[in-house]
Amino acid sequence: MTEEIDASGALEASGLGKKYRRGWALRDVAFRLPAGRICALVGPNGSGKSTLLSLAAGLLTPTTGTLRVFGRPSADPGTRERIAFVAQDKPLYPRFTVADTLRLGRELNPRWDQKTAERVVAEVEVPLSARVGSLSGGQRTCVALAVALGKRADLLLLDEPMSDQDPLRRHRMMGALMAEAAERGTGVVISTHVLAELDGVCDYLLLMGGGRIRLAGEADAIQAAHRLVTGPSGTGGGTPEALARHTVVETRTTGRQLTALIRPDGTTDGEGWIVTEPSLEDVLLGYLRAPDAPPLFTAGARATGTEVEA
Amino acid sequence: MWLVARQHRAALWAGLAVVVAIAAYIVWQRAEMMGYFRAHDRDTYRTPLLNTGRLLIALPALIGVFIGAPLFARELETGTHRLVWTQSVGRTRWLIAKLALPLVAVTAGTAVLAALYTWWWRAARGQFQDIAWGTAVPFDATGPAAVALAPPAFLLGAAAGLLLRRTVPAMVVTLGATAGIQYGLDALRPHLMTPRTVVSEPDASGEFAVTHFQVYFNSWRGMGNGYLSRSGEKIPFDRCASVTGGEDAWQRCLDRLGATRRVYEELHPASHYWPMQWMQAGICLAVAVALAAFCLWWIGRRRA
Repeated sequence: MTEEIDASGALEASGLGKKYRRGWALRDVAFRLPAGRICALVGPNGSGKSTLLSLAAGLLTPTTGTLRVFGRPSADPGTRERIAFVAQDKPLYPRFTVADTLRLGRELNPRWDQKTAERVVAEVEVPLSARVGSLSGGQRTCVALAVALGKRADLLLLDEPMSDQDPLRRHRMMGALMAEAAERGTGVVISTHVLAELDGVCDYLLLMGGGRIRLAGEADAIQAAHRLVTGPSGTGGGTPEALARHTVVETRTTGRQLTALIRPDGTTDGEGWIVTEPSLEDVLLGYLRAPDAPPLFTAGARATGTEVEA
Repeated sequence: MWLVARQHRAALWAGLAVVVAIAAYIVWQRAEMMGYFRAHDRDTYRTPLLNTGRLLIALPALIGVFIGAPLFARELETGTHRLVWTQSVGRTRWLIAKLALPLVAVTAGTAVLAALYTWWWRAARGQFQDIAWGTAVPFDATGPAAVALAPPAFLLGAAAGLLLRRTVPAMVVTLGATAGIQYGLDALRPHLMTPRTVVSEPDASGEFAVTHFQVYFNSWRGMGNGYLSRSGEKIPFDRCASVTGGEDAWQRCLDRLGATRRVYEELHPASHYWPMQWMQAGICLAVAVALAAFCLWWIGRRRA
């Protein structure tokens, strides 16, 4: 039984949908995130990132489908101990001091680790006696992150944690976060729309758009599945025939030169094209620019739940 | 529990200060009054006595509006519930702690003030017979009824905050609902027990029905009065009030109904005070339990 639970991964969604009064925020989301991965959750504003994280944190309940956290439904009280969530607006009590806020974490979490939490707070060089309300946005984020790390969860859900940080602190925060994650094998999901801040840090990728998952899987595998090809543009515009047998994500024409992001099907050699391996950012930008490109799931990222196979 | 205490530390101190201030005022005024009564006219102390009573009957609404309503509404409004709800401790435990600590505090504070006011009122009662014991002041400001008003008012505010998720609307709703409950209780009170009927016989000359001062001493009067018919039926004074044609017509109306010169009055004697106090306290506590159960049910449903 426990093996089954572990096999189901940190997060596993099938048929997941969430409808607000204004419409569907998530629709037919199915993916799997193995445990212990550092996952970037990328997508434009309003693509459903925050909704997905809130569902995983058990703050929202799905309208359709299921979202399993370590094999149990996300609303199950037992999952709360295993996840830590930092919401986008970093809710903290403004009249509490930093020390009070850490005390809150200690009072409410049996697995609390005061040392880790204090170390993270020390990163921002904020005295423990400072009131949270007097801190800058970036400092507050660090305090929120300290509470999340002190909880010693197995999965950290961070909703745009770096958006209000200066580059230096962002770098230090990332370093502290990754050190903790590596030490304990903690899984992390970081949502962002700044692609650069996650390059080289994450090994897993979820790209969202319009409430659906568009890319899911190991960062290397996704990168390796794509090629950037450059060649002369055809006369009629549109997709050149030479590329037709591949899955074309996006084409761009600059002058007489055409650049295409493709998922190659078979060889791309000998067709007069210059073929290069794209950076992860190239791939993500390509998908962001082409909202209708077909989604890609690597083998490990497909939901294995029975509901999907049935 | 620590979290709730820390979070509402300022409110607890402020509440304590208010209780101490009012308590000190009551003790001082009572001592002054007792000294004054020995030498002077009694009416000087009517105003402070009544105004303090009015303050105390406004206390439940204040508790509901300023302590109950923001309790959850502020968390939900500022999003801090997301911080607490994602910690290991369950929401139900959080809700219970959030309710229990202020509930104990407001009940204890109200109990102290009600006890002191009761103490003052008992000393003053003999001097102010014209103030009926069944009206809001003193009834809602003394005894167990005064204490029992605080929990439902507080829980009403808390429940409104949970439902509306916004502080100001929750405060407004709480104010309205608390006032409504207190008004309703005042309207219901005369009917909690059957009034006693006191009959006054005509005096020796047979002309006027004279009531005994002693009968009305300490009683809550005004439940109804009128003449008794020969067969013992009650004919309220206002039965013939709409008859036009002056005194003669009025007399004819009474004669037609068979009124005698025996006068009855329905009143609640002083012995009804304690049973009625406990009945009202019971109603309030039942409401409080229902509201607490609602809060628990609501938070449980949200998690499912």
